[in-house]
Amino acid sequence: MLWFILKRILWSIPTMVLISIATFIIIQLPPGDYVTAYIAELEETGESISALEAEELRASFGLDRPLVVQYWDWISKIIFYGDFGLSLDWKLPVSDLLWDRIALTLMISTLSLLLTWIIAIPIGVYSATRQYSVFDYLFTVLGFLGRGIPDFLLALVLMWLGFAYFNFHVGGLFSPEYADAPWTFAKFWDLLAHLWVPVVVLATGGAAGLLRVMRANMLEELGKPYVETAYAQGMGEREVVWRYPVRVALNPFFSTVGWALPALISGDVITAVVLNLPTTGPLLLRALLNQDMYMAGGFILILSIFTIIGTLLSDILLTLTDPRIRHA
Amino acid sequence: MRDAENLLEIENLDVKFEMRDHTVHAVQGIDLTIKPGEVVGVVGESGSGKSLTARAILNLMPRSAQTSGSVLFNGRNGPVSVLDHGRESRVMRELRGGQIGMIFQEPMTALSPVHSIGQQVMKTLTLHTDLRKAALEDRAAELMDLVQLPDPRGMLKKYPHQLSGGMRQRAMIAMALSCNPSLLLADEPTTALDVTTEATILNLIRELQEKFNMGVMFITHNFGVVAELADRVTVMNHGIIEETGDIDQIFYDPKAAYTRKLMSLIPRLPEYAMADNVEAMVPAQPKEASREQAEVVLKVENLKMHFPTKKDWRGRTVEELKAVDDVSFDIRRGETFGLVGESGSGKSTVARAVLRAYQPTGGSVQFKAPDDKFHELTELQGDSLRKMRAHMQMVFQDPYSSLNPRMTVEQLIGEPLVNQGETNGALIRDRAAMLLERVGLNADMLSRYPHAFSGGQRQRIGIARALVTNPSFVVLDESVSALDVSIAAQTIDLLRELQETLKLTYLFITHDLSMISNFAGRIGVMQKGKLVEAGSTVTFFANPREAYSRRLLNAVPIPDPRRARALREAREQQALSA
Amino acid sequence: MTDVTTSPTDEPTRVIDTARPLTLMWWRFKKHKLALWSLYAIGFLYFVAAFAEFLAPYDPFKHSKLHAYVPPMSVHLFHEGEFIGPFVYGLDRKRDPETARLSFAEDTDKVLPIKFFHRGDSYHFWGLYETDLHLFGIEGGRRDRIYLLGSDSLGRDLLSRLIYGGRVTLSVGLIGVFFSFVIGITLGSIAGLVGGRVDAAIQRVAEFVRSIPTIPLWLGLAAALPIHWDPIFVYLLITVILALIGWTNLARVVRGHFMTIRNQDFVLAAQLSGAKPRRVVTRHMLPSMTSYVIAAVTLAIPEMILGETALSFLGLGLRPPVISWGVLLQDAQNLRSISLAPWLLAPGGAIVVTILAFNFLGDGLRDAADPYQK
Repeated sequence: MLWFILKRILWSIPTMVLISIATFIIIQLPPGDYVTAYIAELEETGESISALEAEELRASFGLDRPLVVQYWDWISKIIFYGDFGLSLDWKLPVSDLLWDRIALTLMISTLSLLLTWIIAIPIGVYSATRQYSVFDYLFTVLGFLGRGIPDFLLALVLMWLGFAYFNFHVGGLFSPEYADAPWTFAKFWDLLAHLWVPVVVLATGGAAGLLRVMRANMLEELGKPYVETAYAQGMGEREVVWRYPVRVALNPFFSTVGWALPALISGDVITAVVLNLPTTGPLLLRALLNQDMYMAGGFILILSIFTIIGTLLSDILLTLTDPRIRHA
Repeated sequence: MRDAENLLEIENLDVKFEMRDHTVHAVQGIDLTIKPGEVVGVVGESGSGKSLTARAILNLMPRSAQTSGSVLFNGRNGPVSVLDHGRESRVMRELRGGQIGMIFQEPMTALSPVHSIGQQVMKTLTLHTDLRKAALEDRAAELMDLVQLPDPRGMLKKYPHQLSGGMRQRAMIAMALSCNPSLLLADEPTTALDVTTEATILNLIRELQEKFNMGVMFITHNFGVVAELADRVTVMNHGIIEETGDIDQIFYDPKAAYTRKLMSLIPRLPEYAMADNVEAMVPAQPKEASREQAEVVLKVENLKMHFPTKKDWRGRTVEELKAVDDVSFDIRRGETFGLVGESGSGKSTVARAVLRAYQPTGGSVQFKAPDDKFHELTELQGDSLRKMRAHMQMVFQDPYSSLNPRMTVEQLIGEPLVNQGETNGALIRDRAAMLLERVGLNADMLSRYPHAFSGGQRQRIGIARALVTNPSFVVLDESVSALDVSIAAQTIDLLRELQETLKLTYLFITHDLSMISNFAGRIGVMQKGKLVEAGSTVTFFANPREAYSRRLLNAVPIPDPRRARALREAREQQALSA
Repeated sequence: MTDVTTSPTDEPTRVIDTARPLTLMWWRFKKHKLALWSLYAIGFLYFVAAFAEFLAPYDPFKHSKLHAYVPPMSVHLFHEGEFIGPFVYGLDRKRDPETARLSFAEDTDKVLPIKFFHRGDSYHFWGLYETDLHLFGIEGGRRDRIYLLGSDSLGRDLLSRLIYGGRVTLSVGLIGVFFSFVIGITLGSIAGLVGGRVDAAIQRVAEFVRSIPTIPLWLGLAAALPIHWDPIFVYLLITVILALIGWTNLARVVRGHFMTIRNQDFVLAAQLSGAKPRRVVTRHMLPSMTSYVIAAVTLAIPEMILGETALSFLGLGLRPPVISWGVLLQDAQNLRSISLAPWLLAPGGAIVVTILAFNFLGDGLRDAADPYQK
């Protein structure tokens, strides 16, 4: 068992290396580099720099060396010093900008994941045990709607409805007076008041998908002979359902946490842009549009690594809950 | 006719299901009684309604079921009319597991995969008794001991997937008996088990039944099992009771035509297999005599089929499964060689390796083709192997998955011809039509798809497909095991008749000793990948050499209650004197 | 031979007995009403996209400064209690003296009848020949226009833009799925057929791709596309990017089915009767799984459409002057424009309808994919 977990952790290391290489390739992909973009920017304002100056600029950023060297330079600093390089756009170390935003993204993603479960599990179980009932149909329709509406569209509509009918300004995570204030209870409360919108937006899409999965899993499990055995033991319906099939049906659930996380983080990035949240989304978008490569790379790398850790955790969770895997 | 002495009284039970455009009467006018301490066997083929009847006793039918009639259970607290109480009612929940125990067919899936055996047994106990904590665990361990599971305390911590089929079924029985029920419902509890395991489980059920003086309703399709266990027998067919009677009356003087038909069709071990005086009983075997003159057509020597199960990081095999380990036998023209064994013994792998579904990892298989020369099958490759396949064919076990549902019968039967390079469509069609009639179906069914046919008919189509290229050698891989008794008997007749007229040589893979004893001229017994014994059927059944063969033979349930009783008494005598 | 004589084979052959697999699937699919309606809806959407030039009342680029943010007009049938056929009223422009904002009201004196097969803006139909025939339009002065879904900040007709945008968005879905289908089915069938180490390697790659959050990856790849490239080329590359990430699910489905079918007895039966590997795959394995693959492909299309919309919406995908639903939604990105002109959200409605229809259709197809299960 311990050995299994250890093996699983070891397995994720090559994946992380691959991710870092992929990230580096992505940030190298745009034709030209920051200096090119910088020159273009200067030219727009009517200024210009000579070719020599450009070369010097490149050398000062280390952009003239072979790619492998640049990669090693980049990744080794991250691993050994937590140094993600300098944001060429903000003229600040990337790590200064990164962590606050990542923390908020993770918080929103985790909260949405929890909300997703709180919605999906009971409704999935209900729908399966009362198949073809009125509420089953209702939840099915709602589930399909949730699956059909893209996150950012839902955010837009909520924003519009909130503004037009409730005079409530949806968007951001803090009211202006708290944005730069130090952490206090009042600020925390303010955060909660703003937080629910992105969390609900992200959770609806996920919950709609998981609801279908849960319902299908439950229907399959309810048809298994051990359910009949449980009834024959003298258990009531509620006990039978929650003690046995739910336990089993949850297993594929745990195993999909790993996939739910990338989806939620993706959702957060785009929703954050719409709702103007101080999470990774807007910053990543800006970095990409400006070809601020270390900044973009840092975000993509960290977000990907967190999803790998999420997958890892879900695998371990699955091992703990399913004796069939535990003893394999 | 209420009788206080009856433990269970079912009167005029009807169960029906309303479908969109018609009504399905699953069970009609059932009358059945069980007295305390009585074992009632309920026998019937699939779809006879026997399982549904058992579920009606617990009021655990599908929700869409509509019932009428009455089911009266004389419980500890007075009689309960089961159908008058709700499915979810307190009364019913108290009966289930508390006074009526039930065991199911599938020991793997009938236990929760995510709870330990202990948790599941103790759950029943907490539902119906006041036992808690240490006392609860003691009682659970006691039950493990009762069903003769080793290391009772340790067993409580195990999960179902860690146990063998027989052990799971024992745990299931422990669960059913945990609250001393007065009635036990057993729904095909041994059908999924190997024959030797089946015998021990049947013994256990009988022992416990006697010990606690339980009434038992034992549902099965196997007359042999009923003969071992039942006091009275009810025969069901298509939802109605054909006949109920004392066990000896049913077996030796069946009244209903249906019972008589079934009795005549069930495969039995030959008399000499059970006689003490072998010489007197052995019949003159014409097959045996002719076999000696016939030439050998298949020589299997030191056949090995090993599958890697674990590889190291360099891809080298460090552990392997010896599915077939050094097996040698030969088969003569026109005979049937029966290869028997329990599940996992490697018998099917032998057949597949011989037919080159796999490349054997060692040994040789020599096959005499119509050109009268021996060909080393293990060395054939590509086109020469493909050509050779015309002469050796296979009939599968599962009539459903062995026919491609997306092809018509004509395409299915004609396919081997196409594969052998035949391109003349009219010729293929004629040949397919001819074979379809040969196996007892109509030639005008050629354009139908497999979904239009029943299991038995599909198996006939499978036989026609196997014969279309005029093979001389056919492997029958459990070819009648998935069929009901009567259909199996007809299929066997067909196979026998085809063998005689077409001079076919069969390799018959089966787990069913009774069936093969009437069919094969010679028999081989496999255990754990090895051929432990091979010889003529008569010698084998009259006087098996190996201990394992004897164990296998003794375990076969015999549809002869008098004999079963005599054997049991003899065994008890033995046990007493020992 | 009671088996044979008591069974329905003595009866004349029923229709169902000889029903081809496709027929059985269609019967089963038809029972799924929602899926059937979705099929019609999708057919309608693609029909509209195909005949965009004819169905759209205006050239989608034709702007009019006088008509910025015109709200959707309603179609009337009765004027002053008298039936005169479908028409709209003319517009009455007012400027709020304080906020300097334009507002529009119906000018109930001015009846502008809707004419069918109207001659309007000229266009090259499918690039083949020039015509100016539109399904409908209004006659009237130079300044009179019909905006059934309202207009945008430049006074362009949203309905026309929506119809043209559908052509791009809906085809991105198809082309993207085609690319991911090619990658997915190739890798999936190789994994399922060859097995062993190749299978393990492909599985690892798929797992790897799936563990990366898609949007950051899309953004990263899309940002790599230079702004000044030909829009058509960008469009193709966007679909390729979507496909590069979207193939894993298809590969998983294909591999899973190859694995299941490989172990079916009828495949072994074909091999044992001398079928060549090619025949086993093409005659037995592929026909058994095409229906599942079609269902999976159908369910993958909405993913592609969502991807395109999200990218374009963020400004990293397709860019004006290309019109797609994502590009159209960009206009609705900030609160100010939505509160001013909520009808700019209309492309969102089209997206939702399309995605739902594809999901329902895919579900229906999947349910009908195996007509032989009990």
